[in-house]
Order: sequence, then structure tokens, then C-alpha cells
Amino acid sequence: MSEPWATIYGQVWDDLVRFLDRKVWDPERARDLAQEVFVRALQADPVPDDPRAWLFTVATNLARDEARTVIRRREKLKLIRVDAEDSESMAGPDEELEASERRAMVRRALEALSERDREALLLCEAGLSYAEIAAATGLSPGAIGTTLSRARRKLAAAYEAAQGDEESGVAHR
Amino acid sequence: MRRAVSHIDEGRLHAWLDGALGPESGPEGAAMGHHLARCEECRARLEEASALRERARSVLASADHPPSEAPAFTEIVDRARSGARETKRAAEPESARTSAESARRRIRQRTSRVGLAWAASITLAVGAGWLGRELALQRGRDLPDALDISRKSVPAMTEDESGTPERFEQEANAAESPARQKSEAKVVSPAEAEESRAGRGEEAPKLDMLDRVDAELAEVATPPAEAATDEAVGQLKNKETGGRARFAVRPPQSGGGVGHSAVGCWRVERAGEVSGAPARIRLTDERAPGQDDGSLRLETDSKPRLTGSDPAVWMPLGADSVWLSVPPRVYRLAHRDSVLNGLVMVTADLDPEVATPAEVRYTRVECPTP
Repeated sequence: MSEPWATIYGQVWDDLVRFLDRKVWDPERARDLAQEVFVRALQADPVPDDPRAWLFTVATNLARDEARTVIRRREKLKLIRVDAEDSESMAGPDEELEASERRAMVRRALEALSERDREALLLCEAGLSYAEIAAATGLSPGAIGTTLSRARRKLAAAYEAAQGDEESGVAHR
Repeated sequence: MRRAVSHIDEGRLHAWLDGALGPESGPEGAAMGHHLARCEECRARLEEASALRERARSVLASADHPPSEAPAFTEIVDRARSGARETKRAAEPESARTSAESARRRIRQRTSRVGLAWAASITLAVGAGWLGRELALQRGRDLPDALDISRKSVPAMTEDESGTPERFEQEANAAESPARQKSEAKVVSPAEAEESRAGRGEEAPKLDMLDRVDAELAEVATPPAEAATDEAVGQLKNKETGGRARFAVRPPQSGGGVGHSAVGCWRVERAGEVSGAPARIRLTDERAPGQDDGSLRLETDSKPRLTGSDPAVWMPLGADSVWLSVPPRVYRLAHRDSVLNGLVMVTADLDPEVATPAEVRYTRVECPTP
């Protein structure tokens, strides 16, 4: 049963972790969840018709669970902040600070999208075909292009707005 | 976004750029290729769309961490075999920092579990079919007709996620007087609950888990006496009780378990000719914040898998309800992520618009040993 998954695992791992990280904004947690996704896959019976779409749907659900958990566990935010401080000393304060600011801006920009648009965009960026995106989101295949064009437009605009705010010194945290 | 104008709409331009449409991808793609070849305006718009696409991509990429090496696949296989316990994952060595983070996470989870009064509740809402209310009332309990319609409508409803929530919101609000059935760990739809209660009286339950929760149950689940007649069932259920039967269980062993564990198993059956058609089941998490961190879900080992829109739906605390389309078979209510040592309420709802609530039956069964 693990044969098809073993191949997909190698192909999809990076995309899946990135996809999850763009949802939970915690790279280590994204790795944990990606592993969990494959554990579920190996336990799935029968093997889903569309394994990649299935994987990302499971990932979406796990990330959604995660998000809800995080909302409840406010202290997690503190942890992230502590971690960020830890890593600053490792990688040069300025670069690290800039990276985490940029990450925060991207996150805000993504959050400006509707859930459906964001989902389609992240799936597309994870390398899924329109058919797979349709399978994972329940959108009709014909609607994916329109959804993506709206998502991209909105993301670019929201990111620019965030950048503008950043440059004019508005604090967002 | 189809327009009368023959220019290519934005969505199609993006589909073209993403490779979903192309000169080789059939008549639509071929036509688009021809159009692009002779329409300067559309070519310009294609360029804009391309720039936008790249822009969005680079924005996203700017937040990425460098890719990290995947754990060996054998590790994943081992975890899948060992039952995919969360605790195991937390213990996996990665980097020092990860372990520290995991440890903190574990401690946090543990502290949040200990000493908390715990009560969980799940609503199993079952739409016995999707005929409209008028139609249902008109036909009364004429099962075969109802079946036909429900069979056709269930898949459509499964896909239509957008339509369901508010519809069932109403149902949830409307359903306040659940019926119950406590004998022999058998849980049935309201109609049957009433019938069999009348038949057996207060027979002692065989499963002590049910016994133990009787007190809690009685509080929430006393059915209206007049629901006992068939005539009343069809309408009263739908209108006033929402066709809801409530039953409750404790985890198999006191103290529960950490990780992924079964809470209880039910056989879902449908009467008469509908017996093969899927039922609609809703899981709703009703635990109050602060009670428990664990997630709950309904799952099955049988083929085919659960056919809801979500292949793996874990309901965390405070989650919205989730609808699943479930073919009749044995389902397992599973729990993970924390110690499960409290009461779990399971509520069976029937769609308020369905006039034949007795056609879905839940029977509590021993969980099959894996």
C-alpha cells in the first residue's frame, strides 16, 4: 500500500511543507503536519483516486484544525516570538528581522484574501493542476482560472499596501 | 465570466498561463490560441496577467524558509503502523530547537488537560433524505418514493458546501427536545427510540458507559411524550425536535487514552429500500473552551471511505460542524490529541425537512479490533 505514496512523498514533500507553512506560519509545525498528512495517507483505504488532491485536502484540514488550536492557545504567540529572538542571534539581526517582517507582510496580504481564493492560490502554487485544485476545493474546474486571477490581483495589491504601511512606519504587530 | 465580446476573459488568461488551457488542450484552448495570435489587445492582457502571476508568486516566495529535508519515508511508514500517535511525533528527534519546541508543546498540552472538568459533545445529524418538506408531507411515510429522490440529491448536497451551513444552523437551533434510547446501547432515530422505549420500558443498559451518563442524559434528552405516535413523529420531530436523538458514551477504558483512540462505534442503517443510500451526518463539536484540546471525528475502515468533502475531518474544540455523507456501515468515533476521560455526547439529528425520520437507525456496537 505504501508503494504509490513513497514516490509521491519524494515529489511532494517540499511543496506540501511550504503549503502548510503558508497556513500555519510555523515551519517546524508545517513539517510535523506534513508528516501527519502522509501518515494519514498510508492509513487511507483504499488509496484515493486523486492522491495529490487528497493529500492537500488533508493538509488543509489539519492546518485548519491547527489554526483553531492556535487561536485558543494564546501563549503560542509568545513562543513564536521567543523563537524569533533565538534565531536572530544565529543569522544576523538585521537580515532575520527583515525576513520576519517580510513574512508578516505576506501573511497579512494572504489573509486579505477570501478563504476560497487563498486556498486555490496556495494549491496552485503548490503545483497542483486545475483538475486537482477543483478536486481539493470543490470549485468547478472552469472557475479556477477566474478564482486565481482574483486571488493574485488581491494578493499583489494587499502586499503593496502592506509595504506602503511598513515604509511609512506604521506598526502592525 | 463569459462575455458577449469575443475577447478572452481574465480567468482564461490565467488558465492559459498555468497550463490548464493550451493550444493542444482541446477546442477551447485551440480557439484561444487562434484568438491570441490575431488579437493584440488580448496579447497585451496576457502579458499583464503573466506579470501579475509572477508578482503573486514572488510575494509568496519571499516568505518561504529554505526547503528542509524530508524525513525518511520509512519513518512515516513506522508511524502509520504504530497508529500515528501524536505523542510519538512530538518525541521525534529533529533539531535541538524542535525538540525544545515540542517539549514545550507537550507540556502545554498536558497542563491544559489535567484537572479540567471535561465534557464533549458531538452531534451526529442525519438527513434521511433530501426531499423538500412539502413533498415529504404530501407523501407521508411513503418510503420508496422518498428514496428515489434522496438518492439523487445526496451527492449534490455533498458537493454543495456553501448551501448547507445556514440550513442546518436553523435545524440546530430548532432541535431542543431530543429523544433518547438507553437500553442495550442502542441508539435509534427518534421514532424508533420512542417505539422501542415504549416496548422495553426502562430495561437496564448492558454497557455501563451508558449507565454512567444517564444523569447527564436525562437533563438534556427528555423527549416529548406525545412524540410516541407515528403521526406525531413525522411532523413533531421535524418541526419541534428536529428529529434528534441524543445518546452518550464514555471512552472504553476509564482514563481514556492519549493519541488516536476510538471512543465508540455505531452501525448506521437505513430502513427499507433506502438501505444502500448514504445518510447525511453532521459532526458538531459542542465542548466548551478550556475543557479539552482533543479533536474528534467519525471514521470507518470499510470501503468505500467516508465520502464527505473532507477525507480526514478532525473536529477540534470549538470547530464548526462538518457534514459527511455516510453510506450505511459501522463508524468509529475517534479522538486524538489529548487524554479522553470524560463524557462524549452524540446527538443524532434528522433533517427537519424529512418526514420519515425512522428510516435511519444507529446501533452502538463493539468496536472491531483492528
